[in-house]
Amino acid sequence: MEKKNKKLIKQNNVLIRILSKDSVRLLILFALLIFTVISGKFPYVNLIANHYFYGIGVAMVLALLFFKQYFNERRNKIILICEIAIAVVVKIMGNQQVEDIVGFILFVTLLLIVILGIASQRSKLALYLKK
Amino acid sequence: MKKQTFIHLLIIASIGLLPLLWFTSGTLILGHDAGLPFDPMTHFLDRLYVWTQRFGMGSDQSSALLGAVFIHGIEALLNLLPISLQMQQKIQFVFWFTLPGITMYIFTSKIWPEKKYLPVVASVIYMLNYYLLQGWFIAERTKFSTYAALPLAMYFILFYLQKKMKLLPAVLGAGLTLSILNGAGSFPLYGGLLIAIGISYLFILLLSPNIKTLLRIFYLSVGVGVVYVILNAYWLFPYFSYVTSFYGRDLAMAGGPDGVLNWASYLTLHTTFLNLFFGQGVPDWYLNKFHAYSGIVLSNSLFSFFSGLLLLFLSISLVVKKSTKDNFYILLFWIITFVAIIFSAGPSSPFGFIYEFCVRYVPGFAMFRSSYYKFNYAMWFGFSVLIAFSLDHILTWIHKTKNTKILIIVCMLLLTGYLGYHYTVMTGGFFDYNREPNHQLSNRITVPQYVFDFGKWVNTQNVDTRYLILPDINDSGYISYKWGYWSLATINSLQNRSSFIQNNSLIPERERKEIKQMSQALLNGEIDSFLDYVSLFGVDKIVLQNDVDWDNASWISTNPENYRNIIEGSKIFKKEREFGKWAVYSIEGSKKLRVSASPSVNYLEGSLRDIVSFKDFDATVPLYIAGESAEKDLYYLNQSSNKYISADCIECDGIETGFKFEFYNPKILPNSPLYFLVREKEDKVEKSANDFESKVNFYLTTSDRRAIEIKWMKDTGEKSAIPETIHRYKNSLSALENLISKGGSPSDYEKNNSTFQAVNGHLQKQQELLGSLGDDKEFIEVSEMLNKLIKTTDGLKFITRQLNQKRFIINAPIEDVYKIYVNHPGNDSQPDVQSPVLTVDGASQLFVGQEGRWSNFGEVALSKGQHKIELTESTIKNLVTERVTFPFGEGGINSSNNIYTFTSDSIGKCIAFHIPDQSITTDQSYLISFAYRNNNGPLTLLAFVSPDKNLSSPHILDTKLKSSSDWSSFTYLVTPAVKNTTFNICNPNLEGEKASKTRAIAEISQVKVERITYPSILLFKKRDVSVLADIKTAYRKLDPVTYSISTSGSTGPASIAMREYYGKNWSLCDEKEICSPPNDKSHFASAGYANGWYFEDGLSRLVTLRFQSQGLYVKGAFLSIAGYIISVMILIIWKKRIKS
Repeated sequence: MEKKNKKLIKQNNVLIRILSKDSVRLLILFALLIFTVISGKFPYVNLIANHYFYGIGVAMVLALLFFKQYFNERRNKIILICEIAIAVVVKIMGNQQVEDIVGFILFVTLLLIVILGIASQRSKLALYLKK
Repeated sequence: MKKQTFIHLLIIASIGLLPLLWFTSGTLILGHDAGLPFDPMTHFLDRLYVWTQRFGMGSDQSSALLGAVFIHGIEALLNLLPISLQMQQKIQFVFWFTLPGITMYIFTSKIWPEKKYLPVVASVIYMLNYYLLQGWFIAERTKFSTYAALPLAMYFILFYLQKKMKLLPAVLGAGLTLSILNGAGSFPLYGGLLIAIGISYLFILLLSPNIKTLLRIFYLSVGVGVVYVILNAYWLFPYFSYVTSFYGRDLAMAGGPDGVLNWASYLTLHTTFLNLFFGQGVPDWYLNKFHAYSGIVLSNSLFSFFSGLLLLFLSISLVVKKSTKDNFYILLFWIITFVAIIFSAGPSSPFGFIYEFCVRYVPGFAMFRSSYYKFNYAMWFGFSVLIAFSLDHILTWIHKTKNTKILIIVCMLLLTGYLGYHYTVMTGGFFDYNREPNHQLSNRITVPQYVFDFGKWVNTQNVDTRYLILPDINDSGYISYKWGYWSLATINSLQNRSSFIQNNSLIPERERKEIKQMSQALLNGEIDSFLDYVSLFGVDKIVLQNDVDWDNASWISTNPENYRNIIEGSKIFKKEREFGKWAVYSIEGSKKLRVSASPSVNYLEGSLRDIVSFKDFDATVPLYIAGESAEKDLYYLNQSSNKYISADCIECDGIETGFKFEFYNPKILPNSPLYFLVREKEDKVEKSANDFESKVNFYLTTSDRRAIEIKWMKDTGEKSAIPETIHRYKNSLSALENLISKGGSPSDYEKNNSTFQAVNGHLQKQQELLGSLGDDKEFIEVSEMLNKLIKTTDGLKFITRQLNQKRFIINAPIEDVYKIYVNHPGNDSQPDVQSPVLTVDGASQLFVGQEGRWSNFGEVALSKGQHKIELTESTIKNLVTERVTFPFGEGGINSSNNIYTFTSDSIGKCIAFHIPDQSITTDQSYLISFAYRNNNGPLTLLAFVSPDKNLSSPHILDTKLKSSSDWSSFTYLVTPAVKNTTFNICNPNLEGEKASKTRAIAEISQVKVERITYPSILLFKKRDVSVLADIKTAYRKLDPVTYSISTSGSTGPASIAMREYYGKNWSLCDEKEICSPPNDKSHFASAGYANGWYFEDGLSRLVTLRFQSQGLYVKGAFLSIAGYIISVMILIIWKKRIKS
C-alpha cells in the first residue's frame, strides 16, 4: 500500500513538474488549438469540427489560467488594443470567416476581463451595495 | 436649472431637431411598415375598439397593437391643430427622436451627477445610432417607445435595489414608464428590456446573495407587474383572451420552433460578434443589396475606422481606473452588453445554442424571432453608457489640463465626427430604402391630393358601405402606386373606417384567393359570377384605382384599364364619383347585404368558385361550408335546404403534386458496429405499423434508406455490406409490392391516390439514385423490381396527364339522387364548351342541355362515400402554330418530321414557337409540354421571349432538362406576366462554359401549349322551403362592435348572416339580452368567412350582435384610467411629503 502511495505521489510530482513548465503549457495550448482547427481528417476531430469556436474559447480560458502571472494591467491593455487593431484591419479586409474568429476572440477576451473584474472586486462591490 | 444641465439639454434638443431636415417640399413619410396614418384622428378612434374594419371584412385587433393609444393619441392630438400633415409628422418625429436622449440623460445624470460629460455623451449616442436609424426608415414608434422606456425603468429598478429609493415610488415610476411607453403592447419589443432588468437582478443577487435582496427583487417585480397590468388592462385583457386561444396557431403559422430558428438564422447571417462590436450587423444592410446607405458604411475604410473607434472607446471603459461605484455600473453594463450581443446574434453565433434552447423550450420565447431587432437595443443601452464613460474620462483629463481650446476642439471633433458617421441622418436619405436603378423605393413621398379627398369623402359616407378595390394585386401582396407609395398595408387601412376589400396579404389566404377570383370573374366578363360574389361578400361599391404601379416586373398585376373597359362597358355599373385617378362605381341592383336573414340555410362541400353563377344558388342565403367540425357538418347537412357538393379535380393543371424525398446522410451505415441501433429502431416502427397507410409509409421509408445507404457505401468505397443491404432492400420492396397488390382503402380514393402517388414518386427517385451508380449486375434485379412497382402504382393512380380528360373524386355525404352539373370557364355569351362527356363511376351520364356556362347532366343516384368522375372536354387544344422561327439564327438546328435537333453548333440558338395573338392572356395558366431526348447532361433551357423585347441573346428561365437517353416528357406551368405570343426553346450559352464539340445533342418534338381549365362539377340536392315565409331585416351599426337588428321575426327555422369576418367572440343576443355562447353550433362561418347563425326555433324581432371582447376592453379601460389617476395622486402626495 505504502509503495503504491509513493508511486502515486511520484507520478503526481512528475505531472506537476511537467505542467509547471511554461513551454509544456504552451505546447498543450497549441496542441488544443491545432486539434480544434483541423477538421475532416479524423473521425474524432469531426465531432468538434463544426464547433472549433468552443475549442478556441477553452484554449483562451486555459491560457489565462496557465499564464495568469504574466497578465498584468499594462499587458492586458496592450493585448486588448492589439485585438482591436486587428479587428479593424480584418473588418476593412472583409473576410467573413476571419471576422467570425476575431469577433469571437474579442468577445471572449472582453468577457474574461469582465469576469476577472467581478471576481477581484466582488467584496468591494458587495460592500458598495450594502451602503 | 444648472448651467451645465441647460447646455446639455440644449445639445440634446439641437440634435433632436434633425428630423426637420428630412422633409423636402410637400413630402410625407408613409408606406412600407411605417403604419403612419393618412388620417390620424380616424386611425386613433379605430384603436378604441377591439374590432376593426380596416383590414378587409373586419378583424380582431386584440393582438394588433391595441396598446398604441399613446402613440396614436399623440398623432390624433396633433391632428386637432390647424397645421399640415407634414408639420404634424415633423413635430412627432422630433418628439420621438429626442425622447430616448432625454430618458438616457435622466438615467445617467441620476447615477453620475458628478460627471460633467457622461450624461450628454450617453444621450447623444443613445438617440443616434445605426440600430435606431434602421427603425427610423419606417418611423417605428413602437420600438422607440420601449427604447426610450429602458433607461427610465432601469433608473427606478437600480435605485430601489441599491436602497436609494423607496419601494412605492420605484414601483409606480417603473410601472408608469413601462405603461406609457409600452411599445404599443407589442411584447416582442420587450426583449432588450427583459435582458437589462434580468441581468441587473442577477448581478445584484451575485454580489449580495441573501434573502433580503431576493425579497427586494420579488417585491419590486410583483409591484411593477401589478401596476403594469392595471395601467395596461385596457389592451392586456383582450390580448390575454386572444393569446390563450391563438398562440399555438400563430406559432404553427410561423413554422413551429424550426420555422422560427430558420428565420432567425436567415436574418442574423451577418449579425456576427465583430459586426455587433462595431455597432453594425443590421440584417437589412446585408439582405438588401440596394440599401440606402449600408454600401458606403460597410465598404468605406473611413467608416470601418470610425466604427473601430467606437469599439476602442467601449473597451477603454474596462481598463481605466475606476471607483467602486463606477466599477459596479461598468461591469453591470458590460454583462448586459454581452447577453444582448449573444441574443441579438441569434442561433448562428457560437453561443447560438442558448437562443435555440430558449426558442425550443421557453414558452412564448418564439415571439423573439427577429432576434436582432428585439434584443439589440439593450446592447446600445450598454454601449451608450460605456462609451460615454470612456469619453468622459478622456474629456475630464483634458479638462484638468485647463486647456479649454483643446477641450472645445476635441468636443467639436467628436460631435461632428459622430454626426458625419451617421451622415444619412442629416438628409433623411435612409428613407430611400431601395436604390436599385429604375426600381427606387422610398417612404418619403408626395401624396396626390385626390387620395386625401377620397379619404375625406369616404369618411362622410355610411360606415357600413363596403368597397371592392380594383385592380387586384400581385400574389406577393405588395401594394404600389405610381406616385411612390409601397407597402403591404392598403392606403384605406390608414385613412378610413369603412370596409375595403382587396386580395391583399393582410387577410386570410383563403379569402385572398376568393377575392382574387371575384376580380377575375369581372375581368373575364363572368358578370353573373361576379354578382354572386358581390352578394356573398356584401360589396356595395367599386373603387377603381388607375394610378396603381401594375406593370412593375416585381409585382406585376392587372392593367386598371382592362377593368375600366369592362366596368364602363356594362350597364350595371354607374360611375358615382371621381377623385383624380380614382373612380367610385355603384353596382346597380345590388342589395345592401351587410346583414340578411333567411328561413333556410344552404350547405356546401367545396369552394365558392364552384357554385357562383349556378342558377339554383341564392347568394343572399347564409351558406354553411363543410369542414368546421364533423358534428357541425352533420348538423348543417341535415338542416340545410340546398346542398351543393363539388368534386375535387385531380391535378387539373397537369403538374404532378410534389412529394418529399430528401437525399440525406445516413450517418450510421450497415458496416458500422452501431448499425444495430438502426435495425432496432426499424423493427420497433414495423411492429407499431398496423394500418395500410403506416405500413406503406414504413416500407417506403426503409426502402428509401436502403437506396441511400447503397449509394453512400458505393460513393465512399465501403462496399463490403452492399450485397446484404441489397438483400434487405429487395425484402422491403417485396413487402411493399405485396401490400400494394391488396390495394388501399376500398372507398377512400383520395387517400389511395395520394398514397400511390407518393410511392410512385419515391420509387422513381430511388431508381434515379441507383441508376447513377452504373450498370452493375447487382443493381439490375433491384431496378427491375422498381420498374414493376412503378408501373403498378402508375396504374393505380386515378390521374390523367391529358389536359382534356380530367378526373375528379366527389364525396356524396348521404345516399341520395343528385342533379349533376358541370361549369365551364369563359364569358357569359360564349361558354367555352362543346359536348363534354361525363362518366360517374365508369357509367356515362346523359347530357341534358346547356344552361349558360353550366352543362346539365341530369340526375345520378349515389351511395354515401367517394365516387370517381371523368370529364372529357373537346375544346382544349394545342395553341402552337406550325410556324417556327429562329430569333438568333438557324445554324446548328435541324428539323425533320416535326423533330427539332440541337446539334453541337447550336449554342446560343433558339427555336421560337408561335401562338396566335388572341389565344393567350395574362390571367390564365398554360401548360407547356414537349418530348425530348438528351444524352449528356443538362442542355436545353426554356425561355419566354416577348417579340417586342428584341433581346440579343436568350433570356433564360431557370429550368434545365434532365439527362434522358429515352424520349421523356417535360411540362412547365406558366402564367404569362406579359402577353407573349412566342416562346423559345434554346440551347443556351451557359455562363463560364466553353463551347465544345462534345456538347450533347438534344431532340425536341410534340411541342404543345395548352390552356389550363378548372371546370367545376357540382352535385345539387334541393329541399323545397317555399312554404316558409321570408324574414325581413333592418339594421343599424351602432359602433364597430355592435349591430342592432330588427327582423320580421320567425317561429320556424331561421338563419342570419352578418358579413364581417367570422369571430367566435361575435354573439347574437335577443331582446332579453340572452346571448349565444361562443363555440355554439348555431354560430358558423357563413360562406367560409362571415358570421352566420342558424336557429331551429326561430328568431326574435329585435336582436343585437356584439363583439364580446369589447366588454373586456371597456372593463380594462376603466381599470387603467383609475390606475393612472391613483398612481399620479400617490406620486404627488409622496413628492409633497418629501418636500415637507
